[in-house]
Amino acid sequence: MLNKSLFYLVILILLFLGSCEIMDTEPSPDEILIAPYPGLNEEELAKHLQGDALFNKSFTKEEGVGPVFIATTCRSCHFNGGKGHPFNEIIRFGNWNEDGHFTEMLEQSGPQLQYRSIDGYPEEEVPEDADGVVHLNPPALGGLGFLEAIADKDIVSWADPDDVNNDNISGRVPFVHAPAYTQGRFISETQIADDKGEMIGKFGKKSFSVNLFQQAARALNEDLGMTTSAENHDPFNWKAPKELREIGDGVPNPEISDKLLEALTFFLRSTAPPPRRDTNNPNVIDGEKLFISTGCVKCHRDTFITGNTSLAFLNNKVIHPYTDMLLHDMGPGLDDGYTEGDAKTYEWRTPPLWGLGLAEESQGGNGYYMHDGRALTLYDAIQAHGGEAEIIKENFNKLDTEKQNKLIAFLRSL
Amino acid sequence: MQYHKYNNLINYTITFFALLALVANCKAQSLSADVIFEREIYKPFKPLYIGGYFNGSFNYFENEGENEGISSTINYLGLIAQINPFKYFSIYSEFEYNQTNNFKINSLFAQIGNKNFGLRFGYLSFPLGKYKQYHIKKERHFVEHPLVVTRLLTGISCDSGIGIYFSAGDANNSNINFELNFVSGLNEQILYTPSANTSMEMGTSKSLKISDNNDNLMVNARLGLLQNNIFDIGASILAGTYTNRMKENSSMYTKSKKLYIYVFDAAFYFNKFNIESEFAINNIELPENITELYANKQNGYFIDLSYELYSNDNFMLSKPLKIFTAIRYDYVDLNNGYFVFNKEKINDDYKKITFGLSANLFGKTSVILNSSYQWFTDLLGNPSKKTAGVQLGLSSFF
Repeated sequence: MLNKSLFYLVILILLFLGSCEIMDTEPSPDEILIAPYPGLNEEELAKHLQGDALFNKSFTKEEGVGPVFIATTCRSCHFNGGKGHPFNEIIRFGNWNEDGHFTEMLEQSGPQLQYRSIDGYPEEEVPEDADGVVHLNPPALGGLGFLEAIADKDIVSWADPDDVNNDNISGRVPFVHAPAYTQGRFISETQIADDKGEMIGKFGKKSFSVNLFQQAARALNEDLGMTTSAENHDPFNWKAPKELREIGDGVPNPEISDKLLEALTFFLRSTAPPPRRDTNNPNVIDGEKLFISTGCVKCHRDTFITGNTSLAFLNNKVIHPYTDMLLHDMGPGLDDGYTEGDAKTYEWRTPPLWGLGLAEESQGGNGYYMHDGRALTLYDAIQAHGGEAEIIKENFNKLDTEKQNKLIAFLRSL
Repeated sequence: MQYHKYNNLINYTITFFALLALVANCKAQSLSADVIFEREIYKPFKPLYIGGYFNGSFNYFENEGENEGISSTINYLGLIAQINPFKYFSIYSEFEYNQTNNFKINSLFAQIGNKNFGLRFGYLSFPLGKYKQYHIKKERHFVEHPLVVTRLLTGISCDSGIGIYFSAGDANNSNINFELNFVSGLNEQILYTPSANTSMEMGTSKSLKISDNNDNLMVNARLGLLQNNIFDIGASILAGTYTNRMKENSSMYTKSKKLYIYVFDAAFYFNKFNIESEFAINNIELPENITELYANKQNGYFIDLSYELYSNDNFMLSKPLKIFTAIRYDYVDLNNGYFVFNKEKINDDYKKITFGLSANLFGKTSVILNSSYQWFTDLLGNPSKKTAGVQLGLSSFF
């Protein structure tokens, strides 16, 4: 009897001791896709955490979510701060007029489809006469503040809209209308505007937003149906009964204070750039050389030095985002007939590649690459490139399989 | 190390109740069984019975390897009072302080009847599985309630309503028992919750009002079969409407929506070895366009295995000591479904295993040592977030 009890007791003690094993599971820094930038001071870290809490908060109907929405929390489109999953895709639409102009169909609840709704309010559908429809996969969030901190002049200097150097790459600077509420919300010391007073679009797959403040306010409004002083009107369903549209979500606007919007913006600005991994792996080292020699790096620019901003921790940092922040013609295969801002239907902003290797860990173990998640592998993503990138893709396809795998190993190390 | 600002107060409270439990348990001969849940409570003078329960713990958790520090918590503290002014009439009340709801009324109802048949009305501790109704126990092996109770069902919440109970057979040997209650039920707050999960507990009324679901009461019932010291099995249901059809002074029309909660509980007793488990299924009618975010189907279960390692009937002051080892496995799927996009499974589930070593002193106080490991997988099935912890708890029923 005593022996039997002793046996069970020993087993239990061993199980307790086993806890030491599972407790030692803190992920290493190079496994974390999104984290506060290590250089934040105590006050900045507190503000970052306040924004982080808002990012992870699920808003309720009583707090103003809806009446139509895509998600109730930022987190559910950017799991682990990473790229989104098609189940929460963003669908945007518009209509081409007979005179060749694109309209955002604002009166028909455009340009974004909110396909979920609060109880009792009908969800939206894409209008039948919308002939430009695009599906977008939410982007990863690491290092966004450092992209915002890139000096405008540095972006402009890399542009080659007329392909003067004859390399078939002709990235151009996206100049877009900056809403009045974005004024005074820039962190860079200087901004470059074109002759129409339009400013460089830095965020959004079509470079529509001029800064992260605008991007955060738009996402809260168009994705969650949460209003701010910047975006002060709830999305609606134009087909809903008039009395329902007048009620909306029933919560007075703005539903989020300026202070919280600023905290959310600061959170986005203060996330650390995604870490590199496997940098000593010979395949990765060879892959990086191939990335350069095939010409990928012409658009996916590897290095910037950030400019001077009002946030000291962002200033004069060497970063490796693998984007040039410019618009490029990506060919008919990636032309969805939809446009916004300064971009043509076939033009896309070069997406940053940092964090690519950790993307699958935020997408449920599957890869969903390109703007709409159409490519399930990095190889497929490369093959989806066209337009200006056609010649680069051909360079990749000329490589033998071993070299192609090395280049992909490099991409996975980002 | 993180210290709560009330840590000292909590430490003193835990110590106080440890001493109280010791003194109270040493005077166990003055206890009497109450007529409703057969909880042994004091009978200071006829017809009043009073008692209480306490659960406090020192906790150490690591979340994804990040040390959350040592904390001390009063998990719950309850006061029970029962008056039996007449032979077939009792008023039973149970007030509880806990970390989630702070102060709340667990039960406040009148019972007319005897042990075999009767009527209850008031604020009922209705059965949804057996654990919910009988969460106060003499012998506890785990500091925390099972996840299926706290995350999937209505916690240990109670509700205003009226019901009948029926019991046939010998209560000390084998019997069949049945409860049927009409309760105010859950409201639409089960949706749009801060946790972004459909949550039954969020839908429990904050007030004692009768109903806010178009005055449609929900139906609750449990049928149980008991063979003392061998098995105790049961099946429960909570069914009805949880939304308003139309809001007052508003033209926002909402279709009536239904929910069905089924719980199956089973306990088996083999001499020193016991098994206790519950399996729950939630079916919630939702607008189709939000089922990927807010689950229309959930399920989960827990299974407790315990083994008596040591027993001494005259440990101290002629009071017993028992030492148990126990294991609990929890599984809760908060969103049981498939993504429309790719037909892949929606995750959003918890798995947890808890190892326990508990010493039951004087019959009704347990000193508990738990070690737990929890894995949470988000909607998409990304790598699980791991939480591990050790808890040293004191649970007493006095």
